[in-house]
Parts: sequence; C-alpha cells; structure tokens
Amino acid sequence: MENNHSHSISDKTYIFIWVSLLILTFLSVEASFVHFRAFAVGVALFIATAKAFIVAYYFMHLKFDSKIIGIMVLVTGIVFLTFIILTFFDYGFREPIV
Amino acid sequence: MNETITSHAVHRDDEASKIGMWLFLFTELLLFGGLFLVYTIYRHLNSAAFANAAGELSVLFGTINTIVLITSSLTIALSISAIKNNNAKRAKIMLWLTLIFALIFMINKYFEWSAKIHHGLFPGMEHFMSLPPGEGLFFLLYFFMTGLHAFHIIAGSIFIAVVIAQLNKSKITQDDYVLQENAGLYWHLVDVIWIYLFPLFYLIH
Repeated sequence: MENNHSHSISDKTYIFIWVSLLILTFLSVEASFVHFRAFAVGVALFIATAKAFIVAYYFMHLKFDSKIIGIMVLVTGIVFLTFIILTFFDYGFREPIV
Repeated sequence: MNETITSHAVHRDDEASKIGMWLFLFTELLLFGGLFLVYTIYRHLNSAAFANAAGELSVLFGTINTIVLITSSLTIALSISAIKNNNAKRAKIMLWLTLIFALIFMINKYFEWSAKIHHGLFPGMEHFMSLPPGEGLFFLLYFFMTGLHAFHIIAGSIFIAVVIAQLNKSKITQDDYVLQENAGLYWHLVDVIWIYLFPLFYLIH
C-alpha cells in the first residue's frame, strides 16, 4: 500500500462529525431525565454505541483503512458481547437474594 | 536511524504499524471491558443503590468533560489532516490544542474528585464505610474506572508530546506520519472509553 493515503476526510467533514457527536451527547443527557424505566440503560448504551461507531468509522479512519482492521474490530466486539451475554445467562436467572 | 538513507529506501510498512497499534487497542478495550462487565453485574444486583449513589455525581461536570474530550478528538484528527497537507505548523498547533483540552479534562477531574474525597466518599474513608454496600460498590467502581481512564489521558498526553517533539525534529513529515496516526488512534480510543463511562456513571437517575 502506498504511504500517502489516497482517501482522506476533509476538515469540513471532521467538523460536521464533531457537531453530530455534540448533538448525540446532549440527546443522551436529555434522554436521561426522561423516565424510560427499563429502557433507560438501553437508550443510553444505544446513543453511546452510535457515538463510538462515529468516532471509530471517521476519526479512527476505519472507513478508509484496510478491511482487515475493520474485521478485527468486529471480532473483538463480538468476543466482548459474548462474555456479557454468557455472564447474564448466569446472573439473569439467579433467585434474588433477599 | 541512518540519516543518509532516504525515506523511500528504508523498508517501511505503515499498515502493519497501524495493525500493531490496533492490536494494542484491543487489549485496552478488553481491560476496560472486564471492568464494564463487573459494573454491569453489580448494577444488576444493586440497581436502586447505584441510582442513589449516582445522584452524588454532577451531570454538568460530566457533560463538560465529554464535550472537552470530543473536541480534543477533533483537534487531533485535524492535526493528522494538516500533516497530510504538508502543514507541520498547523499540525503542531492542533496537537498543542489537544494537550490543552487534556489538561482542562484533568483539572475538571481534580475538582470533581476533590469534592467527592471531601465528602469522605473515597474507598476506605469514614463516610464511604458507612454507606450501604451497593452504594459503596458504585463509588469503588467510579474511582477505579475514572481513575484508570485518567491514567490513560496522561499516557496519551505523553504520546502526543513525543509526536510534537518528532514534528519539531522533522522526523514526522508528509511522507511519514504513521506515528502521529497511531497517537491519534490511541487518543480516540480514550475518547471512546469515556463515551461509555459518561452515561454509565453520570446519567443514572
């Protein structure tokens, strides 16, 4: 691969991405004051994941980097999600401690 | 390095260098991932206590620090696009701005932690010991996870300082800036971790 990356993101796009991250931050703060009850954590994590995706895809350049890096990121994410889900198969079905 | 060898004659693999950086980032992700798992389980077991304890944290401070970190991610991204356009001066200004935002983040963190410690909420303190167990767990995880994150901010700042020094010596140029890109990757990862820490600690009501 050549050293000069042929694809790059313009400064204007970076600023647009920054603004969208700020908007998502405010949305996440506002949403936390609305009582979604059981969904509150879900909403917070959904917005956080959207932000993390934007940072990884644009700022961390996954959009233009070689596909192999993107696949590695995906595998790491799946491994982590598997750990969380498997752990909850245990804790989620335990009798509550009184 | 032998200075007489011109850059195109030296064997270099920028992509491998970046993949190496990513591999390191995965170990960082799983380090924090383990802590997030601990957090998730304890919050599941003590949801009321976690919500109570989180009320002690300032949403305003957390939001300001989130904005500061997101903005620092922008400045480091702009510094990389500056060096791509052969503008080393602008690249350095953007990196200095990133360091200033890192400093603002740490100053906020200092005031935040000071207030909590003043209230005796640091693990082992008298007030901490008298808290219900679930709330104690919340503060233990709060100090450990935000502390580990702050440690990463310091490490990232040193990395950025090294990049600025290399730019000053013209060791980073338009044709060879992978070190700067790797510093950027590290800094963005620290930002991503904060993106999750913020709602999980500050936004539970």
